[in-house]
Amino acid sequence: MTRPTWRTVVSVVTYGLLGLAFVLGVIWFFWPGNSRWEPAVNSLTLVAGLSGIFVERLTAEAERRTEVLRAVADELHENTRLLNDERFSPDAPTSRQVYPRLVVSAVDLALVSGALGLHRDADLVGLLHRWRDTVHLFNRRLDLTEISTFSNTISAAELTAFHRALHRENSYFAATREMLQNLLAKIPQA
Amino acid sequence: MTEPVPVIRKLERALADDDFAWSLLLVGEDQTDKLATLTGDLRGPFSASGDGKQITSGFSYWGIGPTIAWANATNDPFYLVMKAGAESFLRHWRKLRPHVENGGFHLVSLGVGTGVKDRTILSDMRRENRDMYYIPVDMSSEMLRMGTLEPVRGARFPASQVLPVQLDFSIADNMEELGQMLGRLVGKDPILFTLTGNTLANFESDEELLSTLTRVLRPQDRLLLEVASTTRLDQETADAAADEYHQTRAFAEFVTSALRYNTDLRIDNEQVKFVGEVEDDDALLVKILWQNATDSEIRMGLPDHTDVVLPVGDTIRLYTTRKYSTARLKRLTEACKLTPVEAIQSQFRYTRRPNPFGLELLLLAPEAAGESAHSLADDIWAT
Repeated sequence: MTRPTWRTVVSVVTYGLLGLAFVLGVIWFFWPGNSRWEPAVNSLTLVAGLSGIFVERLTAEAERRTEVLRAVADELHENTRLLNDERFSPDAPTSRQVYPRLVVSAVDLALVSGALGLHRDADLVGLLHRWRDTVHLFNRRLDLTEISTFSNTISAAELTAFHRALHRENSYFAATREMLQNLLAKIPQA
Repeated sequence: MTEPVPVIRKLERALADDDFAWSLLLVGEDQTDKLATLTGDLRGPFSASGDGKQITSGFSYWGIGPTIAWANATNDPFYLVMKAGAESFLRHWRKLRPHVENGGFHLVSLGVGTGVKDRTILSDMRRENRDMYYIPVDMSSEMLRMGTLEPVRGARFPASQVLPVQLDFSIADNMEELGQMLGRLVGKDPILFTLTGNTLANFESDEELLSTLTRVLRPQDRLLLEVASTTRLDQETADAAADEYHQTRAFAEFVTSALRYNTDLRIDNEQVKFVGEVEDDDALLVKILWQNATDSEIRMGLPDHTDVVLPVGDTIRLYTTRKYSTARLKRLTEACKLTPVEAIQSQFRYTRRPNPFGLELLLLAPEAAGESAHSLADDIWAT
């Protein structure tokens, strides 16, 4: 947790310097005889102004990261909802159907935005890359399933085979769901 | 007073180290009944298209005459389909082998043929299961004796683990009895049933035969089915399929041998017709017929010393075979509730032009086997 501490230190120093400059300004107002008050107040205000620039930058960066993580978390919750859709249910009828697709737009944006820290979020970035690949392969499998099940020659037994293959314990569907749950557990709370 | 010891228990020791050519055979049917069936089939009504009098599958190989004729046909170097079939079987079997190599399978070969394919299967399977049994089943005792020589002498499969069974497996009751006997013999061990060499295609109703075989399959058992395949279904291709059999003299000798052996009919090879047609829009049917092409009726003497009159144009169907399309195979396996675990198909490559004909080897599991079946869906959703 280096960066929040660093941001806190810079903020405390900035507001401390401004507070001190204010106190000196008040004293200068009541006892204006001492000509050294002016440079003291001006110097403190100048240093506080400079450190304030860092405070603003660090705060904006943190807010951007929080927004990105919130969007990713929302998208993952949406994907959880999609995987729980009744068309993916083991009790769904074994008829041919068009399945909903998982989405990765927020994950794509998070990866290209640069909002996630190079060192701090390295593990999370790796997980998001793997999740992105998994979703693409999952959606491709849904494409293949639909192409096969919507062909003219499909039999009831083959439709049942697709239903069985989708809900098998070690199927790609189960692996995708498990990966989604792991990823949700690893997303930092915004 | 001690109990008498059953002869079967003493037989193994009695035959050990005896170099006389003994062979053991378990006979399941009264052969008189078979002769009556053959005679009955030859008394069918008049038909100019081969649908009256006939020699049904199994009887084509029944007796020493047809067996020798079959052996000659298989050794004929001009019978290209037979040679190509033997080669493609090796390639296909290597791909299917992993599914049945482990697990302690026994082999039940339905329609033993020359025994060459069984030799390949046995030599591979025995490497993993030294205690396996080999049970060839055929209607013809002569075919059984000839067919088992190949695995026993060629692949050194122990004769003490071979039990040839003489039985017509196309009869549902026979197959049921065989299934029960096998269950008592091997217990819960899985059995690999094989029906190779396009034998399925020789039966009048292939679906009925496949369904009869399926009924004895337990969930752990598998059926290895080899059939001739076609990628085209039109009259021209059907004629080409008929020609394929017509080209070999030894094959013509074989198809007429059952008639020569069991009747007094004088057969001129010119009277043998090879007729190809498209059957149910999903298979090619080839009927090999003898036809009375003379100007007068012929009297044919039957084994029971009675005569049957063959009017001008009358036919006797000698042999039936088919070439299957993928759609027909799918229909058959679905109708019999069989799931393809693996299916490998290849085209014949001995002709200059692209050939629509080939062979397909399928490993089938009964529906009750459940998730062990492997399908396109499993491939798509595998991790």
